[in-house]
Amino acid sequence: MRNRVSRRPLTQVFKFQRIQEIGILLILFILSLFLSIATPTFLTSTNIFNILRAFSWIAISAFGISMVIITGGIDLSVGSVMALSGLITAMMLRANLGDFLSILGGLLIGAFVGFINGLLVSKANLPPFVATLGTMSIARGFCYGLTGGWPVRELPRSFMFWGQYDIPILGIGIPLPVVVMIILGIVVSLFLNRTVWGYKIYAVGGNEQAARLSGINTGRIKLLVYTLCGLLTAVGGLLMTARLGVAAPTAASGYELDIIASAVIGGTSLTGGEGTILGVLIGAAIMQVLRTGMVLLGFPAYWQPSAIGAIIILAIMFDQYRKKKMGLLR
Amino acid sequence: MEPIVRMEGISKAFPGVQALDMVDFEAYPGEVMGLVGENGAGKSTLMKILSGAYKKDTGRIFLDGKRIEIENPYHAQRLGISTIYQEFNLTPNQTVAQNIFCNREPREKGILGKLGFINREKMEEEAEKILEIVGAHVSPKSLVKDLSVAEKQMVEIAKALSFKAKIIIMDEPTSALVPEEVEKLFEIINQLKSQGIAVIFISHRLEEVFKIADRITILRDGKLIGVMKKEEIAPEKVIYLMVNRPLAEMFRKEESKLEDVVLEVRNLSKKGVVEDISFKLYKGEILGIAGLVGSGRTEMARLIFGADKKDNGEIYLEGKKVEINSPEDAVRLGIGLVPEDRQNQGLILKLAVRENIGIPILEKLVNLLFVNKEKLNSIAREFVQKLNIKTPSLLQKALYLSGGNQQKVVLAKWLSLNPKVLILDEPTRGIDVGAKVEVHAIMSQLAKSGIGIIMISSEMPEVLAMSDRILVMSEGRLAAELSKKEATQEKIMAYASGHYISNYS
Amino acid sequence: MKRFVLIVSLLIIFLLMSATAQQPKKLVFAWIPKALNNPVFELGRDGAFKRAEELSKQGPYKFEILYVGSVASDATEQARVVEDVVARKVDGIGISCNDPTALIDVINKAVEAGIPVMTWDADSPKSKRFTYLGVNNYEGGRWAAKLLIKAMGTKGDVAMLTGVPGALNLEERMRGFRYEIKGYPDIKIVTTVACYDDINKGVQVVEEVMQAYPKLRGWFFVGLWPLFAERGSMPLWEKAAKAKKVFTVAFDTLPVELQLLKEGYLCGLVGQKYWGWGYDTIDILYRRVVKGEKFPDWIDSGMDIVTKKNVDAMIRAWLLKDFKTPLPPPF
Repeated sequence: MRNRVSRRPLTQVFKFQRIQEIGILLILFILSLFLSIATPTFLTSTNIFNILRAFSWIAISAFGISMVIITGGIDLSVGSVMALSGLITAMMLRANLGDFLSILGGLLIGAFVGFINGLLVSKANLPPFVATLGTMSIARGFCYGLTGGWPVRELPRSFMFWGQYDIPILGIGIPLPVVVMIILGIVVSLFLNRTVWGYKIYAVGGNEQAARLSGINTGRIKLLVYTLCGLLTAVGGLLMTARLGVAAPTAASGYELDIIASAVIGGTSLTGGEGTILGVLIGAAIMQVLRTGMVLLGFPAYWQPSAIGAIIILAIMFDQYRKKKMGLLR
Repeated sequence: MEPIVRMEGISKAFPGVQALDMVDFEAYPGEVMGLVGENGAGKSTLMKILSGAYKKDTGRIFLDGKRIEIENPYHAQRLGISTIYQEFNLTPNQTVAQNIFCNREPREKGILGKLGFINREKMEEEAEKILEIVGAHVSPKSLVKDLSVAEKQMVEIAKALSFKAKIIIMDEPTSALVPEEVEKLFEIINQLKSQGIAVIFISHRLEEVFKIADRITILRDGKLIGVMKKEEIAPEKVIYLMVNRPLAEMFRKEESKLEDVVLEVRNLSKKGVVEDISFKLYKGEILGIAGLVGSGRTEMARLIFGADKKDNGEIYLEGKKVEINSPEDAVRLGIGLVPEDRQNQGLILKLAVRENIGIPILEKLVNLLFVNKEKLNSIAREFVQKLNIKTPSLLQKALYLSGGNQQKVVLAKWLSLNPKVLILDEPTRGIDVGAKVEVHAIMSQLAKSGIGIIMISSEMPEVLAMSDRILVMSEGRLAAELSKKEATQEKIMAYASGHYISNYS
Repeated sequence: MKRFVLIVSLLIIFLLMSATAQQPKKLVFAWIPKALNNPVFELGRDGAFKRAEELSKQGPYKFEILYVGSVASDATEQARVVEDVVARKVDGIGISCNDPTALIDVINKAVEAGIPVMTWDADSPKSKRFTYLGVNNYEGGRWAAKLLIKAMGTKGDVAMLTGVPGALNLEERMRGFRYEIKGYPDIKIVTTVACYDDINKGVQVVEEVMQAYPKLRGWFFVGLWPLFAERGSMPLWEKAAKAKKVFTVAFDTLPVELQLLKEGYLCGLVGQKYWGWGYDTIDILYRRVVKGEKFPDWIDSGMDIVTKKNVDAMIRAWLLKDFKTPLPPPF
């Protein structure tokens, strides 16, 4: 009888995860190494924090969307929700409702749109693609309607603090959005890996029928992930608005693709059941390093989209090849 | 006469496993060759090499005396080697004719055909002809998704014939069929035989293999153990060779006293599915549910479990009326369901063994905020040992386990919950002989510990050996309740097919 | 069925129109922007209303403006809007086209139905519109270069920020800019970056370029995208601009930019006459419909050139919504 049951499962979890993400981490490392050699500016703390800040709101929203994708869904409304939540907060600030209430308002509106997405998917049984395509348009329409197209400006400094302040640690200024991203990354990661809810999220994505027959209320799990996705996206939207000091109704147009791409490059499976927060973080970093790298290299703007697309495809191919070789994929 | 196919010295290794080790295999035209062995013995691997799905490491393959190299499954089909898999390779939203002629559709004449236009009438005519040979009464125009399992299988056989197949490999062809359908399949196989086609028949149901096969090839642990002619076949000997240990003929449950009712179902109905079902389940009892496929057994189980919505009916658990509107409710009350389709409904294949076992009890493992992994590990480890689940680690994805071990994981999942009632739908389907006995032993033990078990099964010996009482269903109704003593195979069949329905009230 | 509904609705419209026909003759002009979500078009709309009001006062006709369009830039949706106003039998159409070819059909249909159509801001040259009121982007680009050279001198590295690569108006501006720069061999355009009309991405690439080219002397923002962001979001650029290490010229003359110019972050602006888009369009339509005047194929709408010297006048124009008084000269 071959009955070998591991006595050290915890260490194995970590080993396993490391194997999953080492490929894209390697890609990020190679990209960074190349840019450090090719440009004098890449490896400066200003630039590194500039990059980190630039993808922080994308990554925070991607944490949310990765949970949705793990359950086998998708959320196309994230770009619009980013814009709408920033806009609501900005308008409340302009109405002198105070920082606390305004921020709360923006976060709640994000969670609310997410909740509606969740209801449409779990209760009305709409395909997530269709449901969130609809809310994407509705939320964007609210942005235009509420503002008449004009950006909302002249926000209080105390709000912009959240996007512009650098925390001095050991003589280096670490942007506040980056700190928020890291804290949320840890929290979401613990949520996914250590709580009952996280286990259930993976179960629903792995096999919805089996999860339901195991007594999991799959509808409630979906409601939860879409709401959390909306909430996290709102956090991202608020940080972006605070950084720019302006809430434009056209803000974050098309960001949903960047956000989904970050999650997928980070190893989140579009068929559900697989994905980690660390992977998503690395995925978002790769996207931004590519973008910034192109500018630093002086790569012609007209060719940049093609170059970025090609590198992303090559990176994923490399990662797949590596996983296949290691027997992680069938 | 030359064998139509001969495989010599076939070896194939996967990372960490020597799946096949110098295996020889042959089949003659017009012969049914049975292929038996426990799960993991190498049957599937050998057949996948023959059908082009895997590449062999070493060895030679001769077809009609000529040495061949099989490039891929399509190449194998063109060579006349067709496979009918357990999971059908049919596209559900296309018609029968489209499926039969997939990728080889007859074209229109002339330029239109060159442009890719398909001659639909001709395709459907030819499909009709082939279906007739198989004896399938399905229209070439009907959609595959609307067919029964048996009909789908006939379409697969028709597809194989349309390739002018000389060899047809059938991998577990009877696992989803009811007895009459199995009879029908055997008729078709005999007809194929008479046309000079070699049929390779793989099945866990040994009695079927013994019945239909002209010869059998026995594999064990990737090695060829022997080939027997029909006259030489002795079931005990074959099983002995397969598992290399003498086996109790069939596990028998000890009888238990039926005193305390754990579950009572009254007037359970759902329009067009089941009608007015009432019964009682006692503590420590295994209640067998027999009936043809489509008689409403699985549907009844799903209604009790809350997976589907009932129109009518009341459920009492330990004498108290309970409302079960979702599986969530059922699980909370201590009712578990081991579904028929364990890969799609019972397990989350992408997740590890540990997580699969832990799902129903996660809430009970929470320390403050987080799931206590130590506790989860120890529970998972306990059940892996208790049920003798063969897995390299608790973190192995369920996907990579054998069928029997997967089923044990599903059982473990419910045992961790410490349930009052367990509903098992076809608990040993597609499981090898050794694992089957183990599953039966587990069931018996569970019943002894006081759990009430409802066991739905199409395998008559299983029903007869394991049940304390037997309910027979027919067309959505209860046709009979038989005690262990009265039950015989013939009686059950008669009730199931609706002959005695008037006698039962 | 569709046709039936159309006929019935046309009939109802006809009846309603004949019922109101007793009042003094009313002329309705449709003024269609690319999108309703862009604030500069609202300024144009105000101009259109202003001219309609003036003309109505002057008599004998009453003028009404239909301000309609797609919410976001969308050529298909815009074509539908044009069909709608044709069905409503307006007396003239002024449109800024989202796509030069996609709108040819509906414009020609309107003209065939006897409704004169003109384009403004964005043209559809192959259609039967009678004229195009537009800015000369090429000249605007040349003006931007002149303003920049005036501020930074005839030596140094320069970068350009564009929106979506390939947008015709932006490309024309950059072409004019490059042409003008060519005369100065010591000025080099070191990089061109794109922000895809996104404020956040604009801010990001400006900062990246500031890092990559520490010796940068000049910027040409072909649109105003990053300037919408509040101070503090582009620390490197702001610091360099304040210290007069980097000089920036931008397109458009929105209040945000005027403020930045006043504070010394920018050294010049080249703006379109948004207000004129509406005011002049309605004027041209009036002269065409009522007086039967002929117009050339293209009418230059002119540009506002704003520097520190005349920025206050421009700020006043915005405050008073009075864009009719000419600006004082920039130098």
